[in-house]
Amino acid sequence: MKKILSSIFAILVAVSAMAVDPSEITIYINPGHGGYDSDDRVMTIYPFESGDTATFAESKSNLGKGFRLRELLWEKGYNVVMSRVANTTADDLGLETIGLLANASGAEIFLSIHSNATGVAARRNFPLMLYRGYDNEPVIEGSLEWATYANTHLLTNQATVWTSTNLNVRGDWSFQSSWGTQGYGVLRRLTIPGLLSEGSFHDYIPEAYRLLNSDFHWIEAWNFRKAINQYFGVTGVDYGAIAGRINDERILRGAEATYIMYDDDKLMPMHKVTIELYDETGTTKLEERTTDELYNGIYAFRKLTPGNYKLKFIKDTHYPVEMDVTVNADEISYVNAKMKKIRSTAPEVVSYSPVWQDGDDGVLCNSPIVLNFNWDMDTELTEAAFSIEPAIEGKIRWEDQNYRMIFTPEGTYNTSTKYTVRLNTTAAHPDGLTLKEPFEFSFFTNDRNYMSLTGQFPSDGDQVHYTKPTFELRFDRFPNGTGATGCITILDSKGNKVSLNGRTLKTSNNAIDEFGYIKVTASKDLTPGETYTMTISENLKDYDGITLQKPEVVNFTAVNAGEAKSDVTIDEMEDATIYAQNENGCANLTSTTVSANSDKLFGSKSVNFAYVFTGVEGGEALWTRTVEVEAQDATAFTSKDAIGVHINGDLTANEVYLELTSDIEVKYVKVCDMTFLGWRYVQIPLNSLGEGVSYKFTGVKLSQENNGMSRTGAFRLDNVNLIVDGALGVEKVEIADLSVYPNPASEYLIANADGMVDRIDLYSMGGAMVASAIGNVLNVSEVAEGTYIANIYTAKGCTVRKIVVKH
Amino acid sequence: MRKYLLTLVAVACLTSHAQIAQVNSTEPLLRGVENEMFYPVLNQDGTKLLFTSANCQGLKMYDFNNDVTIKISEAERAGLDASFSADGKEVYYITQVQKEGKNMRQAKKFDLASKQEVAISSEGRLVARPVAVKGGVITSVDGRVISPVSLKTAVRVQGTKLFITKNGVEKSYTPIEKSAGYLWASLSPDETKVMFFAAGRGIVITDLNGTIVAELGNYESPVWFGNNHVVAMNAKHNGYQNISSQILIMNVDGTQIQELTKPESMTMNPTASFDAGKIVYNTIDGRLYQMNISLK
Repeated sequence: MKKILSSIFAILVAVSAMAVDPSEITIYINPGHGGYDSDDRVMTIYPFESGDTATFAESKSNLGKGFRLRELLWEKGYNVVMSRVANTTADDLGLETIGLLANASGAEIFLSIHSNATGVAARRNFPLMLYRGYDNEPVIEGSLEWATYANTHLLTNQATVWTSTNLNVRGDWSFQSSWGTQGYGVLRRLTIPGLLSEGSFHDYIPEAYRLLNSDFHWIEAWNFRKAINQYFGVTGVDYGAIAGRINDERILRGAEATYIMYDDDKLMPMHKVTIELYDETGTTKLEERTTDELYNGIYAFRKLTPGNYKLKFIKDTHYPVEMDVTVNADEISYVNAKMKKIRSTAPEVVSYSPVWQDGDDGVLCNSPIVLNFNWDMDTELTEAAFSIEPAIEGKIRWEDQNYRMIFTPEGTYNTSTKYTVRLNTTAAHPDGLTLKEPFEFSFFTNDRNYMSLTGQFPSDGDQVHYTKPTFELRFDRFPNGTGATGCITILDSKGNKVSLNGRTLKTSNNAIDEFGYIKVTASKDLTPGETYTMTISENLKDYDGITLQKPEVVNFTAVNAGEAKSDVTIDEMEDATIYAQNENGCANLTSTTVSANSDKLFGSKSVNFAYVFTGVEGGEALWTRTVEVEAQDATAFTSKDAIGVHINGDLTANEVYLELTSDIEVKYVKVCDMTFLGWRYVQIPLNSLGEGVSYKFTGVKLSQENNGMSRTGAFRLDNVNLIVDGALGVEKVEIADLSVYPNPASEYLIANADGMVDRIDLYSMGGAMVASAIGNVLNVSEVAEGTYIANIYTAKGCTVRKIVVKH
Repeated sequence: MRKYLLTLVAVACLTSHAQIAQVNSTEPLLRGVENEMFYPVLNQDGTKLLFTSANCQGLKMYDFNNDVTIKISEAERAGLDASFSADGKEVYYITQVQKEGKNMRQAKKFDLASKQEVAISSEGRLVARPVAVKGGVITSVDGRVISPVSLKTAVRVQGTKLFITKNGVEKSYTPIEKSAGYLWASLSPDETKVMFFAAGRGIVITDLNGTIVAELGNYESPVWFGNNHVVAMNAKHNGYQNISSQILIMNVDGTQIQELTKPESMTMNPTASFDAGKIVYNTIDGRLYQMNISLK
């Protein structure tokens, strides 16, 4: 490495030692990009709107630098050829064409002017010089020296803020190693020393603002000319220059400045500052400049006789600044100034919040306290002068260039409490004037300082159907869905996180019932049998920013509500049209709808029962079956049996019943309180029915629970099953290898299983036993044609099959 | 109006979908023999091919007839502006050296029979691309034109000047006013038309009086394929590198165009021999391909 560096140094010395007449030298300038088109690099920065060409466009900035460099080179006597002098797509030439034009122009060296962008959040700002070839192995002799001189001189610019002052001179084959030896297109065809200069980073936003300024272009051009002079051994100019940047002494950039800033770039650049240049005594004004209004504060006096000068920075809102400066030949003297704002009157609070007076409703318990001042304030002194009673911890931040102080309580204020805010007279602005009178105001808080969880699924200990599990949290106010999924964490027993599908997130309030909910579905199915823990962070907020008081933790188990049962299905719930609203069983009901739904456990559909009650209590709805009850072979039950129901709940806590009808009475058998979401299997013993009486399933009834969440909802039903003798404690089992045949049967019904079959009983759909046999063979030759229920008993229990007898 | 629109549609279809040539075959050249081959140049009958390195240093010639590659020059820049003489017996090129920061160039010729290199110009800073003409070569050194005495018809460019020699008299023209420069000037084989590239505008065809007769579009590296067709490259870039590049063939009146390679093929710098029905081009990574075509 030492040897290489020595060689480079020797070359640098050798090249710089040559001296030629600039009029014999041609410089080819390529302002990179062109035309505000797809290969331009445009940054829409405040206050410009998208599509406004007045914002930063690299094509425009590069061209500005090119023009300034051409002027400076012409002044020195160089010949200059530019690849473009306008900024249209047509001027954006082919990359290799540019190189060939440079060769054909007879130029000695080539410069492609660019600025850099990383495209990532980690912004930075430094020059990068690229030549064709590997690092320290340029293809064209002289390229390394040319690039090194350019980099060295660009780094002397003190009107910018560099994040690194290291040399970054690279061969493009090394820098873009993934491109192989193709390298940068504009360098490919060059046969002269060539350089692609990324002069600074335009996606470092303060630099983008500077790159809007012509004086800043000129500074870069000046430094390129210095490098060119050095490369050819040409003497510098006999004049010097002054340039720099002006910022406010303490006011920061505005609220729009959310980008990364370093050092003095955090301070507000000064607009419309007059910079007067005087002779050494300060009596004779020589020139004056004015900064633009493009958030850069850049100025320059471009051509000054070497000597001593006095600069005066003047703006009527700030104290004037005077600075002495010495100008040397062929140098820019950088003078960066900071100006202090004039604050001629005492500070005062011009407005505040929350504004409250006796008789007003209480204010939100998390209301920030905002004080707006007539001046930007000394933040340290003003914060020290601030107090609140009763005391509460909080954080203070400043906005609007320190004109606004905001106190945000940690947690919430106490409910129904009067607070008094005071700012004593030690509060001051940066010029030292203090508040003339203490400032004081009070406010009264409302009666709610936390959001309450009023309902949820799952609750602690609940079972959750494992497919597409949906979780719902209900609150006393409208919850804010932003960031809500991040406040809900579900872990399995091994600590694995169950991810939630943010696209399924629904939040809503219910203005009538005064509750709001968050509903979200897991990205993947749960594992049946696995236990889970759901934690709801206290950071979950309503739209007023009010949070939960503490985290909520619930444990639940995943189950398969659709596990195959050995039961006979009474209604597969494939046909919604057989259910009709029965006005005789309805009360306080606004509307209902019954429809088929694709969310099902079995078959292709389920039946969805949707309803809206008129209020929060006293509602009743009844849907009557119009087909089954009429059929002669409609399944009947007795008090010995049970009914199994697959129900998808709606978390209203409303009660669901089945209507069972006999010849002498109508019974409503409660299925469940719908305190859950998703599918659930419920088995109901029918021992409340009249003994020895046969009932049929004739309808579904809903009874409203008196709570704020019960007014509207929808539940679904899938297979409703009969469990024969389900109320007698006979265990119904499913035997995997049980075969019952033939079906339909004509003479004999045979049951075969792995173990011994003890007995077969055959029941009509009305519940009457029509045949029975010890063993595994049942004679059905005398049984009338129809559909029957066969109970097959083994040592493992009773298994049920639906059998058709056909002769 | 309806008829006019229909005519426009018909022309648009013709322009975009017309088949000018039949591609009979495409094959790699010198695969496994040379590592990188750029900027190919065919002689008129398509029997010899010049090529160079990625940096245009050195110049080699491949002879299709005997499958032999010879070295023409090892000089810097020799591969940038190389060409064959009209009779194919000599090769013209420019070499370059740096002296006190200046790039000093010299036009040279290489006699393929004697294998001797001879300077055809003095050393200068600005040496124009040697253009083969009947009876010799035309070039210039720092503005001083070098041409054969018997020169009748020729064309060359310098900056944004198009120089056309007609009946032995050279005149300058600026057919395209706003351009960053002209490149790739050439005469049609029948010496009735001039083709050059105007940066920012594209390929321009003029008569021998410098009057524009057609503009073929903003394509680069145009070469003649007979008197009525032009082969060129169509490259797109993102400001830093080419993102697509393909070879096109088009009618000299600009009415028809046909893609010979796909945009993503990154094929470029075509050279053509109408006599041999042959187009040779390089890929961006330095492979040479020969495409055999026949006009429809």
